Amino acid sequence: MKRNTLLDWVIKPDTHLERVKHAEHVGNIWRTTILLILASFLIYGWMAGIGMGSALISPSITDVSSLEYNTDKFWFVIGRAIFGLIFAIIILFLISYYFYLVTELPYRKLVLMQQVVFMMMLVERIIWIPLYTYVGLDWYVSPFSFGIIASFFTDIHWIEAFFGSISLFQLWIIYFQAKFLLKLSILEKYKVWIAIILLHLFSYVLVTLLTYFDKNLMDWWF
Amino acid sequence: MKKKIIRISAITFILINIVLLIVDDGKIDRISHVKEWTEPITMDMKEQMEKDAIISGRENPLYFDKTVGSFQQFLVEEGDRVNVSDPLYTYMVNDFHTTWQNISNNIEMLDQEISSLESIIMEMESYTIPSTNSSSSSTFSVDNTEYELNLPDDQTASIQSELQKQQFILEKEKELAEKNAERDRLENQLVELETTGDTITITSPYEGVVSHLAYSLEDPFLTIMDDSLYVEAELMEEERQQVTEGMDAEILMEETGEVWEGSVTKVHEAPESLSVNKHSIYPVDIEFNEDQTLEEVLPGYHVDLNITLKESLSAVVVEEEQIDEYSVWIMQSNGIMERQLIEQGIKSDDFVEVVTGLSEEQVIAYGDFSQFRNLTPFTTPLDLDKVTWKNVKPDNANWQEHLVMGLFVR
Repeated sequence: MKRNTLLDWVIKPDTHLERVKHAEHVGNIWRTTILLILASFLIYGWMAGIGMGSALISPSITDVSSLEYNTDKFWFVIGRAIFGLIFAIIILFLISYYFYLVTELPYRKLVLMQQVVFMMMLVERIIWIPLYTYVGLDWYVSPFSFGIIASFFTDIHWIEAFFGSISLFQLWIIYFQAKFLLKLSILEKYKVWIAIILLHLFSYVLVTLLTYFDKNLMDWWF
Repeated sequence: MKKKIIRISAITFILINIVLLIVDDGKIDRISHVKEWTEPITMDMKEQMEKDAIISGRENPLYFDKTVGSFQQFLVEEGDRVNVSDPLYTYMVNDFHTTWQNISNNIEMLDQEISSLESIIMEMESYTIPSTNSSSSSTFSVDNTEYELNLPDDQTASIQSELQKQQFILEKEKELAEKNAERDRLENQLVELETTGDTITITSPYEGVVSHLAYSLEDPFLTIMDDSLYVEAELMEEERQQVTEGMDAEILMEETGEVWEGSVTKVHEAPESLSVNKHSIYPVDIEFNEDQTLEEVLPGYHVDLNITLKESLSAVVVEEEQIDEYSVWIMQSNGIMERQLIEQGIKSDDFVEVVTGLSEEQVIAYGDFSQFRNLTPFTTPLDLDKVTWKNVKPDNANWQEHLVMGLFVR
């Protein structure tokens, strides 16, 4: 299926869903998969190239030479791009496998679902870019997320990050996954919902943990 | 229906967030996105005043006392070069005896001055500088005039005082020569008077060019511009307040590209003309420094003048565009941006001296100031120009740490 059909999922999800449900064999998913992985690699690399997320390197600007400073940033960018790659693989394949275990639906169809999910995630990240460079907002205080509201109630960074990881995009993804799975599977409604919500909660907690340990992790590792 | 509600709630949600962003006064974490940054420069700063100026020679005016005699004729013309003792003009004396007496008296006075000068010189030459270890002041007098020498107290200083002594002697010898020349001229006038019975030829006491000659005999009827050149400029009222004697000045001749160094020797206190309606103009004299050589330079040449009003050596300097109103944005070593008020000093071209608020090791951000927020973490983009394989290869770089950082950062 071509890339623009991914957009169809957003615009006309129901018709598409019907087709998928009744399709015996899902077509070639590899092209889209590769495109998404590549896109993720590039987008994350691009974001890092702009400087997003490199706040940990900034303090060394007065300590090291400008050449070394820039080299540090280069490897940071590489690391970030690799993360983008790994991230894509996890979302596309690992999460699909999780749902496979839960619903026993055909794996390829689940991958299709995750492709749509991942595309939305990439869109969200792309939106983060101008928010960062023009409004000075980091990811967890995007106006699409609950991070801003959380900031008004607390100063604790990890709480802000937790709520910041719940965004409109995330909610749409939950809605989409629920719709998809419910349509295709005969599993009880509540089980589907629990599976989805559990997954997402787990991901928010993971993100929050990483945020919390950002600096400490680096110090511990090296 | 359900779709509509969802759509509206989503939009409302975003709007609420936007409103919160607008009213936020610090609760929402921000970052500063820095694309251009630099360390300040250390350089010497000068505040200079540029003026047009003209090279002048010292003008020596001569006057004619009509009571002494009646003018006969000029022996030179305007523009002539004259040396010392060249005849300038002649006049017929009114009264032989008075004139003769005057000249003789003058000669006598000169003789006295000459002999006293000669004895001063002799005394100084025979005076040896004592090598004492204590500061002492020595005085000696010649002909009721006291001369005092202050002697400083160490070996290098005694060389200095030897130099001072020689300098003193030289000055006095110069004076002596001038007096002798004057005496000779007067002697010649006397002889001429005695020979002709009524005419005296006045000769030039100066060497230079006749710059002004008035046939009307209006005083000063003869002006000789001598060869010692200096530079003259005109200062407006506001400018005069900024210039003081002693300031360094640069003199540039545009046509030849020659540059000389000089200093302001006199800022005239009285304007050329006093009028409520006209701007007051004050002349200012600049003399060339002693070591400067002037070749083929004539009075009347126009030059450009740069007077150094203020100077600050090894000042911390930033470019004008790097200042955000009255502050600079400092990228601190803890990764946080700080807006710092600075006190500005001398401005020159696009550079501004920072008197307080910034030191030379600090780093400042500039460019798009709207992206800088006070007391927020800053990040900088990667500079692809600086990325070459040689720079980034694993052996040279701390790559592991930063790669992992890239993997785990959120």
